[in-house]
Amino acid sequence: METATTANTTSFLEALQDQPSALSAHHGQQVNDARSMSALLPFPTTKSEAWKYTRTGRISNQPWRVTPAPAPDESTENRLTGLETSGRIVFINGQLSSVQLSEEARACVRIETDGNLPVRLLPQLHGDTFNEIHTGWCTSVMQVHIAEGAHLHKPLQLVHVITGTQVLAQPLLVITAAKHSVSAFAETFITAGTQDHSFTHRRLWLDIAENAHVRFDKIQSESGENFLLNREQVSLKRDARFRINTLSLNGQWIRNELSISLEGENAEAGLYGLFLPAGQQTIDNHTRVDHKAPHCESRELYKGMLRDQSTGVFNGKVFVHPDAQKTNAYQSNANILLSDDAQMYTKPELEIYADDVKCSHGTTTGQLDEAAVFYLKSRGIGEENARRLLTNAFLSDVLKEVEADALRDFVLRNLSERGLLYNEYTAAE
Amino acid sequence: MAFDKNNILEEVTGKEYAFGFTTPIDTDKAPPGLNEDIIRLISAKKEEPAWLLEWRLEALRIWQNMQAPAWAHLQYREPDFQAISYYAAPKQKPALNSLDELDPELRRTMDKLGISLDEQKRLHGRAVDFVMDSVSVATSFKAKLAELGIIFCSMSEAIREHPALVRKYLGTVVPRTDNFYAALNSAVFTDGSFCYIPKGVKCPMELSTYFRINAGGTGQFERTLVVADEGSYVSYLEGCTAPQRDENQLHAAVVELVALDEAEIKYSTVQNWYPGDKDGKGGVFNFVTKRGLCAGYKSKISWTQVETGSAITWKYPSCILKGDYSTGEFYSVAVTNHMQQADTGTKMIHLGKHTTSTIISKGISSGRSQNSYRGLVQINRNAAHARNFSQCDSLLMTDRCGAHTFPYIEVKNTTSKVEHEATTSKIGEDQIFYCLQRGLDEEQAISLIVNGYAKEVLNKLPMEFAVEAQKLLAISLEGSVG
Repeated sequence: METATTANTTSFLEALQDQPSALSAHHGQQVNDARSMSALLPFPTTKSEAWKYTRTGRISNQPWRVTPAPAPDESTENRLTGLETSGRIVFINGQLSSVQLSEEARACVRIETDGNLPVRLLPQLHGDTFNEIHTGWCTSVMQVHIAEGAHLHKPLQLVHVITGTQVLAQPLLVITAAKHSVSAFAETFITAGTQDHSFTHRRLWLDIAENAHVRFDKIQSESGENFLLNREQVSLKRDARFRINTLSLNGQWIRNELSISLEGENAEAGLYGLFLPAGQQTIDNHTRVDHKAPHCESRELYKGMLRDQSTGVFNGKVFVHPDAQKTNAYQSNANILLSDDAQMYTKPELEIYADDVKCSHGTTTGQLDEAAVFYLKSRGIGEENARRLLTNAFLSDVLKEVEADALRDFVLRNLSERGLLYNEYTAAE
Repeated sequence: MAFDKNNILEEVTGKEYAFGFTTPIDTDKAPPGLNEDIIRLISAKKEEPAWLLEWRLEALRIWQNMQAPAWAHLQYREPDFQAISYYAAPKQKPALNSLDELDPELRRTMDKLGISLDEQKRLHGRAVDFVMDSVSVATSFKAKLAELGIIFCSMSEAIREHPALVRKYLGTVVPRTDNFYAALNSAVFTDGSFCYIPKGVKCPMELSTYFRINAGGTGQFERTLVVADEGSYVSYLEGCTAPQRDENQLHAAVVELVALDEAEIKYSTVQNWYPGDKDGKGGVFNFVTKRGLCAGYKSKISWTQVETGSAITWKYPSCILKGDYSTGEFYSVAVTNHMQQADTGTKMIHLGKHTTSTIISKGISSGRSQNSYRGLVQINRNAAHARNFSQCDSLLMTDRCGAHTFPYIEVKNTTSKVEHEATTSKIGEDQIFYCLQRGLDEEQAISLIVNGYAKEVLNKLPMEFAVEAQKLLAISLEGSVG
């Protein structure tokens, strides 16, 4: 056991040994603990339930490096033109590169980058192998505080750019939304070119206080050999609202672990996701919603479309704790397989310990309706366009949840480039 | 008035398990422990051929290198496998020429359980194989079945009389390496039922096995093998009870079904092992591996189960849909009360083209019990045009119980359709109010609503079983009005 463990993490850790962690010197103890733990803990294998369908071998056997961020240039430029933002924060190779805030945002947003975390958050630094490695070699720490009663309607844009090879990017984002505030975030993961090679593990801790509203749009579109792990821990207090759209458009290996905890009465969370793996890609979505307080509601909808030899994984869990009476929880996952070589693994779970609840989940895996294709053809629409049209309809349930036009446009353009859209959009270009 | 009310309360809560008696008959019991010697002893006692002894010993070696599965949503202390006696048989004459020769004590047991063999003959017209402490003690209707070429007998008899058939199919659906409990069963199984339906024969009556654990300090390890040859049909019933004991008795059975071209097997279970008392003391640990192989074109296997007993249930009756156009079905009602825990569901493995499967699972949790559905639907690459529909509903009766759903869905081709849906809720106050207002009391109202909820599954049971199952549901949930 011991030898297997060491072999499993050695090549990963070898190249890292003396590299720094972005956590402040105050947390030296945590960093050291994490470094020694990561040498002992193995990487998860397909034998562990949470990683049953997603392999980590191609991450664990690489000598990743913390790479200094190059100066921003054209290749790392913003590709989300047209998006009206209240500020832009750019990470290059996991390191904070620039922070720009609009006049409006400067009045109500406070940003800290000193790597000093409040004591209450320290236990969260530890966990499995990935968390220990993250704490041991964290590449940047950014804390964003939204002031009480602030209204930030335009999203704060977070951009993660990868450029170079063997890049290890491990940013930590801590966001707190104070009482009665309204804020929005748009996060994108992109690569500078097509030859980049990286492992990104981005952690996000988001605390939403009483009656605060947060909207979060996440777009993942990396080309090249990139591995992307996103872990989000979100907690909602009384009357808080949270909406997240996870749009996984492109990426060799993507895993999203989203954990939402409803801790105060009448909190509401909406989780929407779209994943479109192609080629040899693997996209894995793990979600967990903990209903810890009564009268809360969660809605979840994930849609996947799989092509070529790609693999899709969906594992959603709704956990209703003993006192969370009057819970409403809905979970839905629909998938379309467009190739015989693609594989979809779905596992929607319910774990319920309260009786006065309404919980349901549903999942389907199938293809485009042939009768509908035939109908469109009989109306004079060619086979290919008929399929695209139906694809659009399938994807629109999630896309309509994206509020900012510029974001939706970015997604649609991406889909159109990959031949997934009805011509109309391509024509508009 | 108040006095009366108390009486009723006592009666209701006092009613726990109706089949908890023991039968004072002589038992031939092996010393506790599991090793090669015990296996040789079992094999010798049963006068088994050498190949079977070898097969058992190999299973033991496999088992010794395995770990008990820990992935299920269950909490219990693993039984001490060395403290169990692996062979217990009611002492009786070696062969029975007629049912009259049966030990009178044994006959009384069967009467108490409502499976009087004589009566059965006259009233129900179903053939029964009675297995006590994993040894088959009586089989009825043998002659009539033999006329049609149907073989229905105990496993030991089948091994003696039809070794070729047994050897051909034993362990082909559930191999010894399958899992911890299947390996254990393969090593120590003492008896069970064997059934073979020849080509083109529709079995005219329900075949039925009644399992009962009687002796203390033992486990029950029976093995059932049903083979339906081309174009045949059989409906098979299984019932189980056990005496009330403070220890946790182990039941680790294996059931294998083989349906060849266009054959159909309908397998129904009403499981009512002793569930333990209100505080979770005692009760049977039920670790069962049940699997059917739809081996040929258009073969069909249908599992129906009503699970009300056992302290721990770990059971996943599955179908391997190998033949093109074959069908698998799973209908289940699982009721847990007091401290019971159930982790049950099914696996549908689609290999052949145009295969279809249906899963209807209804869980009812009450008391402080935990009830989980765990299922797998796997559509493999070559299973073109496969179709699955799953529905798993849970009903919660109190605020201290739990209901969980863990469905695994794996799809690997573009022509298949898989649908799954699940809901969890409690009985609506408006539903109860409506019944009360119509003159039913609360207990009756709940019973009515629960029966309606489980109807889809109960409808699939053969007549007499359906009546029994409905009664069982009512008893299991008695006194559970929160």
